[in-house]
Amino acid sequence: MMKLGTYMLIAAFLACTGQALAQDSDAPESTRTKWSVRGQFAGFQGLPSAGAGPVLAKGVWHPKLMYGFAPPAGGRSEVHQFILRNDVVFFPRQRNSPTWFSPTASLNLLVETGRHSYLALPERFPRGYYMAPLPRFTFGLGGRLNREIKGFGPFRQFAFTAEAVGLDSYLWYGISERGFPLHRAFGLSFGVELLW
Amino acid sequence: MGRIKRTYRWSSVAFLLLLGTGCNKVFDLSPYDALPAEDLRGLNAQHSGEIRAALAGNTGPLTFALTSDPHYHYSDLSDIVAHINADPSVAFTVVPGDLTDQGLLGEFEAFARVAEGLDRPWLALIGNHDHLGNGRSIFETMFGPRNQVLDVAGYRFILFDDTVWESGMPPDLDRLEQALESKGSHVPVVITHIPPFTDQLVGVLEQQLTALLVDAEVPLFIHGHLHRFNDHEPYSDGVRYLCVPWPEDRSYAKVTLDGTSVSIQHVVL
Repeated sequence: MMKLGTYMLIAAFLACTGQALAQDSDAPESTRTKWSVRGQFAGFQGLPSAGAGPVLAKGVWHPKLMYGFAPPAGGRSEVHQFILRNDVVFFPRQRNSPTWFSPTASLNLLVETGRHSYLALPERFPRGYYMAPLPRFTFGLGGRLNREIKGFGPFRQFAFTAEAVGLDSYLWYGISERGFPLHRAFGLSFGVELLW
Repeated sequence: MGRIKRTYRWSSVAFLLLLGTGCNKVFDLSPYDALPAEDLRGLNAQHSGEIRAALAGNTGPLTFALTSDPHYHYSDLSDIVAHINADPSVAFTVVPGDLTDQGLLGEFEAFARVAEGLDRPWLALIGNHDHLGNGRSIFETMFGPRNQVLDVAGYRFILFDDTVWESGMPPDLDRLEQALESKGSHVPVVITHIPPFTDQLVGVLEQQLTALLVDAEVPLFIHGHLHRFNDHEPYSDGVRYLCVPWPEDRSYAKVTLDGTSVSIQHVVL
């Protein structure tokens, strides 16, 4: 099984390659995108999840507010959660090419509003027995294929993303515990984005 | 320049594909997913069968090991597993609860993968932390019923879920009473996660539970939850209480039963 170190080496390699190909984050104002909508599959954020947000920091920072849903399955009831995504797109533009790749990282805050986490500690527990509310976070490392588009309404860019996403506790165990290999912290997710 | 671009694009595709090969499972839909891997289901039933087969016809002393509350400490648990494997006197191992911290599927699976390193059978009991989230459902799929009885070599091992707060319901003391009353000639050994003299049980439930133990002449009551080794008789009622240490203590307990005689050893790594 691949380990995170391998991912990071590959990501670093691609980042260097991308640099050599003259990625351009200082694109003219007229070519920059300002908003994006995203749909995602898996990654601890729901079977589907969807949301939207601004494109900031010259296209490098993509915060989004999303909603994720997972239907009942395998002994768990349905999951509803709100997600504050924070994507970092290392190379938001590439000069002279309508299609380009960028390594990405994401740090996401999840708040489950269904029946799986304590938004308020039930009365049967002594005060402060468990921390409540209980948000979770995920860290993702992946890549995104971007393509400029025309003639599709206001949209000027399409992106396909793939990430290895790790959950907070699992990442901690993976880092601190020999008995929990780091690769077990991660699951795969795919997403699509439209930007304008 | 064109060649570099092609190399770059193919590298990008390879990178995305490699992401998939490295993940634990292909997809995680939620932190609260509840379906364990297929090879980690029904473990207590499987291991109980192995214990019965291994000890069939055994009439002499019976030795087994206990380590509890491995949550947070799967590396220390690995070391304890190796130590137990090196001791040929141990017939089986019991883990009396708190296999996880937050009842997460990944925690259950991590624990089970480490415990599966034991070269002799092992049993797990649910603890209060294991009830959190979808932990109870995961436990029941992975290990089986929360209350179990194992008759082997003249002993009746009763693994009993006595969690109150996290389970949201009182412990099923009727079930425990039935298991004790129907023991026949077996010597009963009761294993729970929470001892009767602490937080969740103290008071009425404490009195009911301890009365059952005394009435059934249980020579040994085993529990976890408190993380520190302790061998004592808190109620001076003839029932000996063993608190099983957690792996962070770098120690575990070893019990030898010979009829109603109980020998307890605190094994330090």
